[in-house]
Parts: sequence; C-alpha cells; structure tokens
Amino acid sequence: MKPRGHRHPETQAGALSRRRFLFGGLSAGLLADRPGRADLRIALLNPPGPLAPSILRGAKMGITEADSLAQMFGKRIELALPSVPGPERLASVASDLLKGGVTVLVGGGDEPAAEVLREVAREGRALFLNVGSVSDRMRMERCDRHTFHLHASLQMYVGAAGFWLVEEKKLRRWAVLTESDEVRRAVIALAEARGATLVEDALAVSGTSDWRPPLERLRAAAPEALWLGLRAGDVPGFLQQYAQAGLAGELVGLTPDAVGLPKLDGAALSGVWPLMWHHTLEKYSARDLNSRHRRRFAEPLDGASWSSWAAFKLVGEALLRAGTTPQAILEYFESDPPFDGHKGRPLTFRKRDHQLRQPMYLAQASKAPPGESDASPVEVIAEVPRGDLDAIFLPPRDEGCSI
Amino acid sequence: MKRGTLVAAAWWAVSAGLAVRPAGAQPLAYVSNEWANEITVIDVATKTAVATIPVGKRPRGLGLSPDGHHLYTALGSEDAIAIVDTAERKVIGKIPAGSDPEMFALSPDGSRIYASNEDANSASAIDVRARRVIASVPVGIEPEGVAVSPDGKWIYVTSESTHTVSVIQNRPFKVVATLLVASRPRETAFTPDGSRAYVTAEIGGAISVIDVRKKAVIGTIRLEREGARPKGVVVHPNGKRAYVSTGSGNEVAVIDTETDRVLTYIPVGRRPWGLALTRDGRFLLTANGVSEDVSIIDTEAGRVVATVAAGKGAWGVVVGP
Repeated sequence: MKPRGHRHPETQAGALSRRRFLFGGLSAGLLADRPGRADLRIALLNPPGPLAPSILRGAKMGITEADSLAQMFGKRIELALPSVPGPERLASVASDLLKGGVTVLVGGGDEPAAEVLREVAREGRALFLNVGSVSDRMRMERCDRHTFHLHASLQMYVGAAGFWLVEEKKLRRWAVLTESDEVRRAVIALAEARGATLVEDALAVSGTSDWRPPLERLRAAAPEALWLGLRAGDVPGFLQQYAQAGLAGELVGLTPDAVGLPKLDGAALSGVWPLMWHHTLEKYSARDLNSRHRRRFAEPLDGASWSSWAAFKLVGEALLRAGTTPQAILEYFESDPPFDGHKGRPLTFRKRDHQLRQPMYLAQASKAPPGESDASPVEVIAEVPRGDLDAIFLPPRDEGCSI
Repeated sequence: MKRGTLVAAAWWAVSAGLAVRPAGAQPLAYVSNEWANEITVIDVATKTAVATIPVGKRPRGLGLSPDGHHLYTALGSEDAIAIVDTAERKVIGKIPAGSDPEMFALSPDGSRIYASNEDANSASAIDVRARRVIASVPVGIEPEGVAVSPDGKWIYVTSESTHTVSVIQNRPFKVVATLLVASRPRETAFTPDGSRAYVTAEIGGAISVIDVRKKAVIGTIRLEREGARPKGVVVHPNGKRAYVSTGSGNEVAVIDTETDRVLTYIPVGRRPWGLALTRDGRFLLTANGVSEDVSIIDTEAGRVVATVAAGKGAWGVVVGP
C-alpha cells in the first residue's frame, strides 16, 4: 500500500487534482445545477490578499480530512471554490452560493471581506466561519450569531503578549507605537485591565525611513515594554534604528499572522511576537499536523492555514455529530463541543462573541544557526496562557457583543 | 476449563502485559522511557527498580509475548519495534514497523503484532516470526491505540484526528466498521468477557463505551475533572473496574463497569499515561512522564503504596511474570 505521504507536494500553482476540487473556479450557478450530490456544501471565498495562499492551503487540507471522515460514515462534503477576483464581487458570489445550496461560507482574509461574508450569512441564515480577520470590531459591536471566528482576534494577540509581559516578565510600564487605532485601543484596554501604565502613545507614520522623532519620545518615556503595531514593510527599518538607539524596552511585535512577520534573519529580528500557530510546534500532535501540511504543500503551516483547516474540520465533525442544516451546526458549535485543534486542550467558542478560545504562542528570533531554523526567522518560546483560556481576553465591556 | 475461557485467560494475560510466571519468580514490570531510550525494570514485589535496558531511540508502546520471554517496544525514532530478551535483558532484534511507530498490540497467541502507522493512516498485521508486514488496511487519520479482543477476532484501532475507532476483523484482515467516539481517542481496553470496550478520549475528556457485539457506542463517561485528559485504560481481571489515567489531571479515574460511572479518582505522579495491572489485579502501575516515576496503587485500598523512580519521559508500562 502506498503511504499517503509519498505523493508529490501540491504547490500553490499546482493543479487541483482531487475530484472534490473540481468545482474550483466554477460559478455558483453551476454548483446549483448539481443538487443532491453532497450532504453538506461549503464554500471558500478567498479574494486575493496576503493571507489568501495560506487560507487556500488550509482549506484544501481541511476539506480532504473532513470529507475523508464523512465518507467513513457514508456521507459527503463538497467544497465550492468560486473565483473571487476582488472584494466588490464578494457579496454577489456569496449570495449566489447560498441560493445554490451552500450552507457554510468560509473566508475573511481581511476585515472588509469578513464584514461582507458576515452580512451575507446573516441575511441568508447560513453560517460564516472567519479564518483570517483579527478585527475586534467583528467580535464586538458588529458581532452576529451566524458568524464564528476560528482566527484569533487582535485582542487575543495583544492579550497573550500582555499576559506574558505582566505574569512572566513583570513589566508594567508600556508604550505603543502604531498607526492603527484598533491596536492602540487594544493595548490601552489591556493596560487598564492588567494594571499596566501606558507611558507613551506614539503615532507611527507608515513609509517613513526616519524613526528618530518617535525614538526620542520613547527614550524620554523609558518604557519597560514597547508595543509595535507597524506595517510589515516598516518593521525592518524601525528595528534597525531601535537597536542603534540603544533603547532597552522589551519589544512586542504585532502581526496578524506568521505570514506578516518581517523577512529578517535572527540577527536583525528582535522582540517577542505573538502567533496563533507555528510550524515548529511539536507537542500535542502538532508535529503530525505540521508534517501532513508540509508533505502535501511543501510549505510551513501558518496561523491562517491552521484557521482554515480548523474550520473545515469543525464543520466535518458537526455534520456527523449534529446534522447538515446551518441551524443544527450553529447549535452544535454553541453547545461547547471540545474541538481538537492539535493544541493540547479542548477548544470551544465563547458564547458572547463566538470566538474560538485557544492558546497562543510567543515567538522570538531563532537562535538556531542560519540554515537550521527550518526557514523560520523565529522560534516559539512560550504557550500562553497555560491555564484558563479566557485569561488572554479582556473583561467584557458594555459596548461589547452579547449573542 | 472450557477452550473459550482458556483463550480469554491467555488474552488477558497478554493484554495486561502478563505471561506464565515461572515458580518462585517475582513479577516484573517494564517501563518505557521515551526520552531516556531505555526500559526500567521494576520488581513489583519489592517495589524497586532492578535494572535498565537500553533499547533504542524513543521507546513508547510495549507488549509481552505470552511466555514472557520477549518484550516488544516501539521505537519511534528508528521506525522499528525492538525485541528484548527478558532473561538476558538485551535487544535481540528489530522488526521494521513503518514511520514513527507508537502503539501496537500482540495477538493472544503472540504470533502477530498489530500496529498503527500514523503517517500512512493505516494499521498493519506483522508476522512476528517472519518479522514482516503481512497485511495492511486504511484507517482514520493519525491512528494511535491498538487493542485485540479476548477471543482475538477483533482489532480496534483509534484514530486521533478523525475521532474514530476502526473495527478490524482478524481473518481476513479488513475493516468491518468505523465508530465515531469522543474527541481524540487514544487507547482501548476490552472487558475480560469481551462484551465491551472502553476507549479513552483525550480532548473529549471522556471514555466511550462500545458494545463489541453490536459494534456500537452505547455510552460516554465524562470525567468532570479540571485538566483531565484520559489516556491509558485497563480493565481489572474481575471485570468490575476500569482504570483510566488522566494525563495532566495527575490522577487515575476508577470506573464501575456495571454502572459506567466514575467511583473515585486516585492521585498519582505527574502526567500518568501508561497503565498495567498485576495478574491478580491487586496492583495497578502508572507510568508518569513528567515526574519520571511509576506509581504503584493497591487496588483494594484505592491508594498509592509506592513510587518508584523510572527514566526521563516514562511512557508505557507492562507487567510480566
């Protein structure tokens, strides 16, 4: 018997050879012409974007595994992969898919796309599984019962690093440098919740090559920790000037995913970076999951791939344990089924905002010699939190969501 | 004694890691130490470690031949199952076992090893004498625990990622049913009469109860205990109790098989995984991976009566003659 792992890896540009991907690229209308062929139809809406390749890989692995499980019990899950050239067509494509029998939409590589899919799912009484957007707004004032978030929220990224700063490093004098209001709000809220003091709130100007003005303000404020919410392209220049300035504060870098990590080698990368997955994780069968992904795609499994894979796996389990209708799947997700995401703990959705509770990971520049770090500039140094998964969330606020 | 009873007795001896004990000898337990690459030998009577046996890289799953002469251990980093001569206390051979073998089970007569092949999502039957794979079948994703029914007819293989148990018929070697159990199933133990099987589910925090004849899940026992991650499971020779190691829960759950309810929890060392009972069921041993020791429980008293140091990453345990 030929082991599955001996197949040639699928590259990003590789053909979708398996039958279940034959619908890839077909319009929603064509899918609607094939009624009754599957027990559950699920669509990935994945407009071009930084996370799109990762989300696609995760979806391909997830649907393979979910359908494999379904077939053991005489059922089938079908994936629709419509072409979505841009966000302006997203709503109409998604609506057509629902009319054609799709009941679960997966996607949300960024906030605008996630907003569109949430709205389409709400109106169509279908489900939307967000696998890319970190937006806290989506989980708070714009939350909806038909939307579930597999991807970690910005609050979780900030909360994980903040937990580590306060509980492990005992650092409570913070500064933030960002152009993002959402990052600023998250850090300020966390400081209040964790008893930290924000001693400097510096505005970053994207595209600048001269970081001396904010660095001088940071020098004067002397924070113990600096939260860095910069665009990926701005990070290398800032890190270089931060090192040259000789500032001592612990750096915490925020990126929505490992995909967004600055392309720097270990010598040039500093600070601690919260991530929701990393391809060097080994415990709790993470090694097996990482290995399966790498064998198939010759690419490391990152956070967006993990979210996407998890979405399909969850739906596959819901099909067998609960049923095929959106309402049955929704109620199943709300019933706290212990999801196994290879993170060593049962993962469940928070009732108030449908965010999947999960451990996060803190990474820093890899200490492995060049060439031995498995193409990764970072290595995981901690899992956060070790105890109650709610510890990395902020206390609920009045304007928050309550589903 | 009827033939069926004899077969069942032989099965129980094998599945519990027992064999015919020579007169005057003391029962010995064998503990695989995943990160020390060795087996710790414990004299159960004196409750002391009496030897260590270097076996190869990353030993985890264990099994004993019916006569107790051979100990088998899966070497995850060598893609092999090592054969240890228990009298000489040294490795006398290795059987190729596919990529990263973890768990396996011996047939009641000791002629076959049934192993899960995690990377290939398959289960294999290995001829022990010929030292080669003679049959293989696809199962769920990430196959893990393997157990053989008392009559040797059924092999149960758990698959962690699909939450399934593949029910494999022995001859011919084929999957005849797939059962959906609680999340991330790890190990299986049959009752001595072969009527039921208990399957631990690590992330589900539960034990699925299977009616063997019906090939159906008939119940789920939830461990309402913070941090409990059910891993190992054994059934007492009298069939009245099942014991489940709870991993990070650092306890053993005691289950009444009549009611399928948890009777009590017994604190043991840190991260107990492997479990084994002595032949008379008097003592239960747990391999504790983080505290790197073995807890010996008096099953009648319901408490730990001794703790014996093992090696780094104590993983599995079997009790021999």
